[in-house]
Amino acid sequence: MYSPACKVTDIASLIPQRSPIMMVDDYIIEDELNCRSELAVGADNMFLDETGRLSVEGVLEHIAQTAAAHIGYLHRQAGETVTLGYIGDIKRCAVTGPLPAVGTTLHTHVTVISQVGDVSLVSAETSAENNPILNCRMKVAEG
Amino acid sequence: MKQNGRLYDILEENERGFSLRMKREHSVYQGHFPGNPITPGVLTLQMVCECLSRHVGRELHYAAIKNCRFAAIVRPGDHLRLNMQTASVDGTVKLKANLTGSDNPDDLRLQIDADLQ
Amino acid sequence: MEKDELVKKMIEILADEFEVEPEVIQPEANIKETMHLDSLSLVDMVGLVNEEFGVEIKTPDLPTIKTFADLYDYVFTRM
Repeated sequence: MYSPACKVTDIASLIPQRSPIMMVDDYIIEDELNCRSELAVGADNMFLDETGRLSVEGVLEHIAQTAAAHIGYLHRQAGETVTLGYIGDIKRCAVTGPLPAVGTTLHTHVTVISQVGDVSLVSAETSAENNPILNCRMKVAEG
Repeated sequence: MKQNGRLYDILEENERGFSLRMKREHSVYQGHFPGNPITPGVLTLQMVCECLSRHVGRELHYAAIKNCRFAAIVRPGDHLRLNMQTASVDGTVKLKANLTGSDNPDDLRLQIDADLQ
Repeated sequence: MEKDELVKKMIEILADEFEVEPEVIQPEANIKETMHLDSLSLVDMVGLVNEEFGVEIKTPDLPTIKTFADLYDYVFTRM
């Protein structure tokens, strides 16, 4: 169905978000339930706070787009069209490390825990420079 | 926040919360989504954080989010009401808030239970 | 795991996750009404059952799981 550890760089084919709110550079599929993604925090990122660091909200958007890219990828593999994904809820979210500064690359791992109809529950962990910075659970609803 | 202008206007502020109106124009709507402007859920989350910061008089950030439910979408032009309950414990602000349509408390858009520092 | 053990554990984790009193989780009670589940929290329940018991509730099977007794049977026969 897919080649393992396949890297997708044309993220725009998997999610409908466009500049200035594209928050994933690379998406790497591991298997049907697991994927990874990367984002280099650029100086023009719209989620930079007053200290030049990416905000918690920016990390959460990056996670949401990673999950949406994964759902989009699975749809594309099944010959279906890519839909809009919305965040349904965020739970058990903990900020565990310093927020990333400009020039840092985020690494995110998303695991699908369950899926019911158009709603997927995922757990996500984001790190930067080998330090975990945020983990959470999120539901992404397609609509 | 380094955004190309604010996403919303504060119409009214009192001890219980804020009356807000989403601006019709903001660069984010070019990409979210092309031809179908919807306020990104995380930006409504950020709006809550900014309002709370203003309310307590210092810059706060989310430290933990127990639950944040995006009950319905927010669009440019929407007129909203933010109701907040806060408690301060050792420098952490514990927040319970909901964001609804301005004239209908049953029109829930966002519900949040979080700690900010 | 014996079935009564499963039931006990299920009540414990559901009551904790959905913040209801364990006593309201009766075998013939309706799951959605008892725990006030909507389309989002239903996914939490499915995820919880998968994590705790290693049983994946398939979307097409969900309409057949109305009461807690239905849920216990579904999970027990698939463990």
